Amino acid sequence: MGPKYVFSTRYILLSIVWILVVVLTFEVFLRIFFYKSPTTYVNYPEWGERPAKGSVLVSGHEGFGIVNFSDDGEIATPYSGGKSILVLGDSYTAAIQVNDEDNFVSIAESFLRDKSFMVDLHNLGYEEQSLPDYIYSANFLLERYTPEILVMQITKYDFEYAESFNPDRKNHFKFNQEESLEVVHNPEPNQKNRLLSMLLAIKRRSSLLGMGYNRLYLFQNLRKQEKLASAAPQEPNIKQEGDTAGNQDYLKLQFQALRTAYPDIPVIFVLIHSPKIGQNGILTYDPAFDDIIEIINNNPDYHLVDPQAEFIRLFYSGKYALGFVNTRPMYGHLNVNGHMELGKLLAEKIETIMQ
Amino acid sequence: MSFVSQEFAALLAAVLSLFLFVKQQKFRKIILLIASCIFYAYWDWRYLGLLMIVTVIDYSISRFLENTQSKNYRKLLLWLSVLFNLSVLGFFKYFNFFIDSFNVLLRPLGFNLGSLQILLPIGISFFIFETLSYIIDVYRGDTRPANSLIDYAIFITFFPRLVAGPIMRAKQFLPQLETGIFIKAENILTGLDLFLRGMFKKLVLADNMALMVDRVYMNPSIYSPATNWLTILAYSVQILCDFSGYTDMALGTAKMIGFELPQNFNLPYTARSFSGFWRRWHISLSTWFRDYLYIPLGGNRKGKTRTYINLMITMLLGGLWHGASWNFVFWGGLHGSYLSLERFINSRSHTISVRQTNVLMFLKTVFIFVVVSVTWVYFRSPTINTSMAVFSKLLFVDRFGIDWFYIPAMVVVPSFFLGGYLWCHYNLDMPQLNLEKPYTLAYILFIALVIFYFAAFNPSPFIYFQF
Repeated sequence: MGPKYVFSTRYILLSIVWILVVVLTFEVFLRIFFYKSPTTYVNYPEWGERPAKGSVLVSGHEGFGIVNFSDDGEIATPYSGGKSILVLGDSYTAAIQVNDEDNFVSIAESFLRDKSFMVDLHNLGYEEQSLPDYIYSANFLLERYTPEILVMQITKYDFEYAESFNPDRKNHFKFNQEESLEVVHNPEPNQKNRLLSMLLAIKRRSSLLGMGYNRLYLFQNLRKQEKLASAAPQEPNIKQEGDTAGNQDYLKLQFQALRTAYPDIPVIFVLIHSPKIGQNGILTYDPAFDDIIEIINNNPDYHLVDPQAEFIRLFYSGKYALGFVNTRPMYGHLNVNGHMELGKLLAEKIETIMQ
Repeated sequence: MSFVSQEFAALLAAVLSLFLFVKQQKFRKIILLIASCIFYAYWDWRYLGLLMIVTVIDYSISRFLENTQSKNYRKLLLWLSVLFNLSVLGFFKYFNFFIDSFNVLLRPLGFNLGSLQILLPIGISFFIFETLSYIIDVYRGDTRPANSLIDYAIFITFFPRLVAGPIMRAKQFLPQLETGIFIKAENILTGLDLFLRGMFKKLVLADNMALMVDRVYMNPSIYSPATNWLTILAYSVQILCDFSGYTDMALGTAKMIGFELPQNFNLPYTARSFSGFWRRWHISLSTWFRDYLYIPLGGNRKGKTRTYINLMITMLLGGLWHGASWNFVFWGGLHGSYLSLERFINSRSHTISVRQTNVLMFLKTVFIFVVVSVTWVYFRSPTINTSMAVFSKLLFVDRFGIDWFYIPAMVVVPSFFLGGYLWCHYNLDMPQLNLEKPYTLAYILFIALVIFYFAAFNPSPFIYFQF
């Protein structure tokens, strides 16, 4: 190409073609290997916005997983039909880091089917869900799935740092005048703004924009954290209303609210710990779960699945239950090893209850 | 102020904009000097004073050297400058290292000399070596003193290369400054291309490798031998991409302002010998040591034994230049031994004729890469104990541990090594960008997208900033 093309129509057209080639190549590459958002969502007033039936999500930031939605908001499991078991949880249950057949819900279902238990586990895991969300949607979900067993995956973040009491969350706890807990629901923002809806639809259809938006959001958060850390490096973590460390009353109230929302049904709590590898190479666990475990064990309708011992065993046999080949070990979400161990434990627990 | 920051982007944009309005060379020089001072002072303004003192003293000595013919007086001035500069370097960088080492030796006798709280001025090893080379060159008559204090101050403080090189000689820089500072569109484009390539190496390759390297070096004993092997190879890629990424950004920034800086790297992991590696790695430092230490010591002109001794002295001091720690000295010593051994074998092998097939050359390259990577363990480990823990894994003494095969490292390490090898084998070169080609904007967009989508979230500081 000689200088004659500079600012000529041909030059400009060729430049645009090259830019389009780059953008499209990137779009395809990201879509296959890194990120593809479900394109259509449905909005249930009693439940919230969820990916529609038939949607597919691809995620490759942490692990790599292709997740299919067999129904609105429901992640596909290998089998359908049989006794209904409802599985609620956050991103650990949604498990977009592994393929849908490898998450603990699918594994538990497969184990149970292998033992001729006709069960149908409904995986309703969705990111950033917490106890108030499960309680708010309780009537809707009970009516829709009529479950015989409820499985609820929890992490310490359900109770610590007062996330469940955060008024910015769509559903959050608040104390009423009788000093018991009630769930407050912040209604959805006005979706009638056509421009916003259109932009959102474009973002969901383009991996380049969707992943770009997510990265910008994360970069922004990191900068905020850095600023906060440099502004008050010595400031202790301030306890907020709802923090459970050393406060069993708050915990009991939250479990009570849960029981009221899902009455007369056995509940299996699946605990997800956040272990840390110490400088000495020893795996340490946060003791925040001790109070929760005590409450669960003291209630005859509550059952516990705690994979801690299995995860430690895995670690000392040279495998890790959390973390992936593209992230740090023992950090973030469960990998295939972790889901396998957890799935087995959950299947055993369901089997015990059904017998 | 890091190259990868909004503050740096603002500073560069301000400098370029001011150059567009200010046409007189005198004022452009002042703008450049002020920008360099702001760049340096952004880390810690207190050390700007030290930089200025070094600049003024060495400039004055160079003027005295120019104006005197007495050999003895010239020698005295040279030694005065060398002693002054080495004292500054010794005090700020090595004082506590030597005191700590003495303390360890004297502890059985009940002595303890204590230690001082000294903050290491950033880039001290680089600017002291530049000013030393200037004085020595003026003394030798290899270069003329700078025309003015401002010119010399710009040479020492020139912000694109102030904190981590390349270590430049006055005779490379001052003539460019005398020609004048000119802003050209093609220089900005080429500079931007270099800068983005540097960012890619640093943020995408080096920082993603750092995620694995930092984690494993934190506690190597909990990872399996295979993971440790992958980590040491990943560190080889990390340190090269980190440093050569910085250099590319420095070259790119300088180019935008209209200056050419010397190349500092030339595919070092494609070397087929240790001497070849040092001709390709941190070229400006290697040539500095060659010209101002190895050759003055006698180089290879004083017999075989002296050559080996000179090599060892040069490499040990080269190691110490990198940091005040026995780990660096040991690392330098190992490279000195490799160079000596290689020279010894080469001196004996002229009787044996081996056909240099492609396979043999490739195997030699792999061998050098692996040995250099293993030697980096001393460079990367915070303590000798960490080095020992890594070596117990590498040598399979301790087989326990979790297998973590970090995918970015699994992809980048072999591609980087093989890509570099083929690039060198076929003598390829990066095409020069210019606005006449319609793919230029698309290419810049492509690099920018790769950086945005694949940069690590927590960028680590440039490794060579600590030196």
